[in-house]
Amino acid sequence: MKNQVDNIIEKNKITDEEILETANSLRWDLGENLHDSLLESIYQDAAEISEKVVTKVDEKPKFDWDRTLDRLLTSKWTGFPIMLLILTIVFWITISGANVPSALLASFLIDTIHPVLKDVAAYFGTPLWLDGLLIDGIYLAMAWVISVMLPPMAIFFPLFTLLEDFGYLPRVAFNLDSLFKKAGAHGKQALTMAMGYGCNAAGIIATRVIDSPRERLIAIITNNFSLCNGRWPTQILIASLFIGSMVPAALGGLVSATAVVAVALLGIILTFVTSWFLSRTILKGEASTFSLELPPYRPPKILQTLYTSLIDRTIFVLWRAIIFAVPAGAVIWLSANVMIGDQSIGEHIVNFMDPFGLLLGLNGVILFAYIIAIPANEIVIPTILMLTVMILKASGVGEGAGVMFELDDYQIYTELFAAGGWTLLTAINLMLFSLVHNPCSTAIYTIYKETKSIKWTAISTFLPLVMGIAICFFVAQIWRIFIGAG
Amino acid sequence: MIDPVMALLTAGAVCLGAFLMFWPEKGLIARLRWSKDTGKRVLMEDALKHIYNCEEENVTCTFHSLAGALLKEPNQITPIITRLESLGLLTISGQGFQLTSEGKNYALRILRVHRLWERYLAEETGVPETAWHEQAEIKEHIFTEEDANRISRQLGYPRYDPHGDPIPTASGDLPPHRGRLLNNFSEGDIVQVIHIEDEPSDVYAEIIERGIYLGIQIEISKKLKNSIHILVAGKVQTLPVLLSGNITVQPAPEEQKIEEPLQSLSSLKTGEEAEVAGISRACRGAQRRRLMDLGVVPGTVVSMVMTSAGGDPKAYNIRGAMIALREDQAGFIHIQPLKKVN
Amino acid sequence: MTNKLNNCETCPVHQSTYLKKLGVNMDRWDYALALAGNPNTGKSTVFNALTGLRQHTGNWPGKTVTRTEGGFIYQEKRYKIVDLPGTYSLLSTSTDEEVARNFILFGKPDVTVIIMDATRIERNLNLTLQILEITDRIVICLNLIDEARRHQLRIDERKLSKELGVPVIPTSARKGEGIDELLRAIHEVANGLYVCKPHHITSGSKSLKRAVSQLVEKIENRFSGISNARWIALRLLEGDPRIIEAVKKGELDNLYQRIENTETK
Repeated sequence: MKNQVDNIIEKNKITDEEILETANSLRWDLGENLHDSLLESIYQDAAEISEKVVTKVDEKPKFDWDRTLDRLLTSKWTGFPIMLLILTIVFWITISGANVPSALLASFLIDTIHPVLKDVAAYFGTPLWLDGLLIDGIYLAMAWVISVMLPPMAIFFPLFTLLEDFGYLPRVAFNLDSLFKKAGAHGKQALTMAMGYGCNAAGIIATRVIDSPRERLIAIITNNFSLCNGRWPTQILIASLFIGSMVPAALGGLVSATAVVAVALLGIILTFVTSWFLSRTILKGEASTFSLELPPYRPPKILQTLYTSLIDRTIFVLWRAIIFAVPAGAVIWLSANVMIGDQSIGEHIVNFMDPFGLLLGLNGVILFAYIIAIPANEIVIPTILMLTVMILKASGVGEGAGVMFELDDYQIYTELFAAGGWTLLTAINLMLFSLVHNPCSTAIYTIYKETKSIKWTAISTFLPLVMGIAICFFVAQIWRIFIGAG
Repeated sequence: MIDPVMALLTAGAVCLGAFLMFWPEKGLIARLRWSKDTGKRVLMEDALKHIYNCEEENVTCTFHSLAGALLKEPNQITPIITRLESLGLLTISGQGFQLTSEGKNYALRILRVHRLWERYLAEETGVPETAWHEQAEIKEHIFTEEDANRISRQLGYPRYDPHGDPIPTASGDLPPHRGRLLNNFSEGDIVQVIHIEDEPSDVYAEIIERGIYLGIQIEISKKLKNSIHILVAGKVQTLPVLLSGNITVQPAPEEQKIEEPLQSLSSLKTGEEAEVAGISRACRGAQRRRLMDLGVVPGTVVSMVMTSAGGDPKAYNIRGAMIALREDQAGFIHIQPLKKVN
Repeated sequence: MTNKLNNCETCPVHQSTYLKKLGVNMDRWDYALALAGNPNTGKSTVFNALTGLRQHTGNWPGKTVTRTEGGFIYQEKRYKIVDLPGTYSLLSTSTDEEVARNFILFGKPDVTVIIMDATRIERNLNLTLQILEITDRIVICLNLIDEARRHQLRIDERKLSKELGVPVIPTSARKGEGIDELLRAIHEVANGLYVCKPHHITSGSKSLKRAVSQLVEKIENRFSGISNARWIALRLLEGDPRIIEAVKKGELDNLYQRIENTETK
């Protein structure tokens, strides 16, 4: 019985191909207007329904906070100054707030815990090489990452999240769009740029809000110019040590904040310049569509923001940094303790790179640190510190090869860097190179996942690296010509 | 320490060298890549296309017309034709040539890539209209069949290119010709543009310049010997026959009425309100869909709320949400004064 | 078969294996929910309110670009909930819209919860009416109802429910208002206690209607009992590559049979 019914159905059955053929032949006649008329009919129904169900009780407009605020934040005269002011305030709070806890953490983890660990290891009779690798290499690298990174992140992320929740970011995109348009890019790139300040990988994923492929690629390639959280500590530390220290202590915080803002602004300028360059060369085309919804302002929930930004961002990023610090710590210790001839591997490498580093106004230690830190930018400063100690061991500063020594406050960094032959030029070029160099391995992987193209991944990786080398090179030469052999 | 001045000079020399190497199209690398073989294949494919077009228009192709189309001397054409014949793509008879069915398929494949790419440029990129044809002329020789299928899929298997030419399907299907040239209609007729010929490019640019797009309605007000007077979007224009001969139209559907002179959304000042009358036909693809998704359809009431600090994008209140649009985009949206209710 | 599933990013089977890899214990659930809505309507807030998770909710459109998943237990049933990226429409071709559309159609959630912004009903109806064409297991969550009250808007949610043919629950997820009612409505639709009769779009041009009805007839003949033939016809006429593929590969057939199976179960 069932079979018979099936057979009858089978005979009259229309096949999949028939459906597709019918659709295809109908399509030649329908022309190009289908989408339009479809949406028109949907909106027609929508209007009818909403007319029936929505009534506005009171037509009298109340005082509109949103509009007043918008007028202030987007006006020709106040829009950009307010943007800069907010940026400076955020960095100033971060820098001046992070100093003390950073020093406290460092002295606790390095001065107190580290000797205890060494004693415990000695008590159990751990072999010297294992003790060195685990405690002097891996543990110390972790301790450095935590003490350098945790305080600025714990302050910066919640502040940034508050701005985000309030609804300020779309206004920034709104204000900056005319510049992006001139650069042949999409205004929403401002949003992805802002996300990049948290983490470039997150910023690269966020480029999905940009519909057109060309503009999206521009946003992906230039996202690297948004200083990510891994690079903020480098900027903040170097600015405080070298630039903040040139003025009286009371102004130090503000001046260092201004220097960091200047680097961040340079990043934005580079974003525009590179976008402009890309849209005139390998990504030729005019700026296309732009539409952006400006949502109403919402009072941010402060407690929840603190919680989510601590859990989601700070801890997450810190965890990642620690994971990458572990192998880096091991590499640093090994390179300082495995000897070839009368020098360690690390010294060979650093000495080899030194001439090129000096040509760029940097030095061999910094370049080697950037190679070790490809997995994560977070560990650049700890690596530089450890490598500097390692190189200087011959001159008797510090305890031993690849081992961190006691630190009380920022003063010691200054002495350390001075001993390593650092000048103001080195500091400025380190800040520049930290802004403009290859993305970290996570970001590179994300770029590959998002673009699915080796070509674009390679361009995103090497374009900033080449630019960084060029910028440092020119700054160094010009500095040396006009200011002296720094 | 290396002398900084020396270092700068050396770096400058290296930059110059790199520039000469990598300069797109004119650099050393670009020249090396465009080898002689590619040039020969491009000529052969262009010849096929020209012969196909001749057959479509029922004119006979000669060595001379082909030489003209390929910008070569007639004697340079002979080897190309012999090669095509030996490949079995065409047959020579007397003065003219005929494509074999294989040759026709080959030509259709090239046309398919060309038109698909034009559609892609129109829909997915901001490449200016006048550059579409030129870029497609290059792409048609580079893309493989798979590339074409991928683009076609990505665009939702489009049927027509942005000039109104049908795109051959993967199996080489084409619909019958539609419409007639604008010159063939008489005074008083109301017609709709369905195709604008994109060659020669300066004529095409001139037509676009005059605001004539696919789908727009034209009323023929007067026919003279060398020109036609037409009414487009509320404005009277004089079209030389040279231009109108490149425009294909069909009688306008009855349900639509002729378009009135309209203002565009970008002319709205802060605080002013208006009703959307439609989106210009020149706004296509993703851009058009996006605007409609945001609620820009005929009848929607919009008001201008504020201008950004940079001056360009302006924020409009569209169906309850504040939407920022760039000036050129807002220019695509036609508006009319609000109809008085009550 | 496996090949096919590997191509389908959003299929539940693929998804569960993916999750297993991550070690999240979500391979067992009684009902799957999808959360759809316009950008910036508080989808993530509703998601957090239902799951107790604390997904970050930024105030800019497009914050959620990837799908996030969570779970909860209600009346002894395990619910898996997928937060789809916010979109204005499902008809365009952007990636996020495709993710959302494919999950609603091929992921076959037991209930699709549409979050609507109560202060912008007309705009939100665009997406809502489109989803109503695709599936008939829907609960509408009329979020930000407190904002609407503040803006002096009065909304007759019963009439809205009647017009759309699906349950409409006013909520204010930020304050936790209406979440219980929302859960109850989800439970009712998931268990078939409430049968939706979704509104289908009636307006449209003559030539379009003619083409659609011609195609619908064929589709209904091929897949008897299919509920969204009209929508599929429209997609085919627009040349939607994913739907054309689905027809070619007989995915619609599988899909339709799967619905039948779950209904008889």
